[in-house]
Amino acid sequence: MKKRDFLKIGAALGLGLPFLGHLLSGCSEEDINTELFDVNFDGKVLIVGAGAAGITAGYILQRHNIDFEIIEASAVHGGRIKKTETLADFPIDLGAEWLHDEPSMLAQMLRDDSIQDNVEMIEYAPPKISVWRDGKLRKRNFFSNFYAEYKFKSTTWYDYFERYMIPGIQRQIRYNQPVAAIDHSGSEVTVRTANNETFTGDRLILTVPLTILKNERIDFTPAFPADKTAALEKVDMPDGVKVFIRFRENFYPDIAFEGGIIENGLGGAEGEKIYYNAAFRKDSDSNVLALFTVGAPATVYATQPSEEALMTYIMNELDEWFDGKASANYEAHVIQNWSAEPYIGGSYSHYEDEDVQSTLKRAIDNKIFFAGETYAPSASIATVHGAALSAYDAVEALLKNEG
Amino acid sequence: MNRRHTPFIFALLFLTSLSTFTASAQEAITMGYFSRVGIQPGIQAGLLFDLGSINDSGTRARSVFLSPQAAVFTRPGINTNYLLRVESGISQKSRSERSFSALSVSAGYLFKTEVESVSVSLGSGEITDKARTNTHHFVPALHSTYGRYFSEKWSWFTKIGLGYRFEKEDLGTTTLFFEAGVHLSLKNIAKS
Repeated sequence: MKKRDFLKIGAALGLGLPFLGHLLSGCSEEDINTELFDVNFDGKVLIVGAGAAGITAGYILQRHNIDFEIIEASAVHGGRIKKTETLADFPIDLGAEWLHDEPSMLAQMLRDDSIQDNVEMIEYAPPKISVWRDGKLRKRNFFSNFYAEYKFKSTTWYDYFERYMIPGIQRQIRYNQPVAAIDHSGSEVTVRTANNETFTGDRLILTVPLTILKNERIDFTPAFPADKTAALEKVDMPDGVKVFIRFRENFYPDIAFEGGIIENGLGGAEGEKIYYNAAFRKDSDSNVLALFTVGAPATVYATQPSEEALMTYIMNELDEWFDGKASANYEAHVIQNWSAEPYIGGSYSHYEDEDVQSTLKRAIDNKIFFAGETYAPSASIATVHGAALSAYDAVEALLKNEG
Repeated sequence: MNRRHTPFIFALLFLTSLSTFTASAQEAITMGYFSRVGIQPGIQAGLLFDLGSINDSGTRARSVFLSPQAAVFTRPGINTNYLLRVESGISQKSRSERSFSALSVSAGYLFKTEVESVSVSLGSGEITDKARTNTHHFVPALHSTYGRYFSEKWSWFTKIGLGYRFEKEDLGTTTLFFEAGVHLSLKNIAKS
């Protein structure tokens, strides 16, 4: 069950009746804080990573007229936000796909009341739910009462960043520059990349995925703090795979879980695995069934020896679930194995102990700041908007310059 | 059916029933909290007609009742549901314990209007419904009720119901109803 449903349950049980009229009205307004931060800093900021947090950090700094550069390891920006337009008649999010909060969060992430645009979001509360259990696909539509999130209707997370944040900051992004070392022993911060290029700034915001730090792929001078290293052991970023398959016909429910819904679907401790109708409410003629899996259930997919082997495994599974209809209707597919992405290496953060987050998030010597889904406010850990909010936190602390 | 008109049609049906009821001066008015699966809040109101006793031992009395009801409940931000139903069953009243219970069945018509998508202002965060779908359902259900009198005219009750919401394309689903409210009697049931 996602945070949004917790909020709704709370509202329903405690506040539902007094606000019934409001709930029925179908219209609401949010207070969006558009004030800029107090600035007590006028140097240069290096941002490592051009994913959701890095892009947002650059966007905020640009609005505060602070000099910055974004150092990105790969040839593209976005990180775990990525899209394809080749498989279906609608753009598909290959990475982050859902919005795990109210849609007004999209405005909260921009904090710019001069923006006139609207974006359409799908109420993602699929009514047709099934469970694969004991060799049989069983209808469980009742569980649709407990699940709801939002998705972009005709755009994607990638489009959101591309349109509203990237234009103002793209000239500051340095692509194909995987960071190998960070030296903050002097008055400045120096970054050396695998290409032996050097970048220098007064502060640094580190937004790399957790796996990069856990695997010690960046050398720190002075050494990475011991308490942070210990805290890293209590956070995992397990395997993550998404596969989108286009079929001639729709023969599947909106969501199909394997095993129990509670243990495998709605945030089970070991991970998640669902097949879902990616075209749900998309105004699409394409029939696209997607696999989304993270954590333990994802490993069997992430570790297949080749894409052909992975697709054979998936098609066999789907044929078993749907009586051979998958093979009979198959047209095309797209695989996104996030575990195999060289500068990502997994899905998103799974905390064993969220108490260690404050240790991980704490800035080093008022020079190295941290942002990303790992460091998001607790209700939004492992989400895109959480990554963006953590960037606001990091930039605010940096600009206060109270170290 | 235009969504805007739905509540008015609903109110009209209810008021018509109420006036009929008042004219015939029958048993009780019922009203209270109504929800599906406990987390989709709403309100309900209805009438309670006592169709006659089938057993009266002096301390316990069984009778058949008929109860037309109207309810509205919502899954906040996602759907709003209007339910018209007729419930009938056997009620057993304990005069010594001033309590009652009932087993009943109902047949209902459910009109559901669901938000498919919303439009979000990226400047202000304002959210407006963008697209809706309206669906109609037949909802039969079984109910169990328990209540107690706390005055000569007033009693409280709780009721659970298990039903099935029929829908096309394999979308039908089991439905749980939880209800709690009061009956206002026009006769002194507790003493009678």
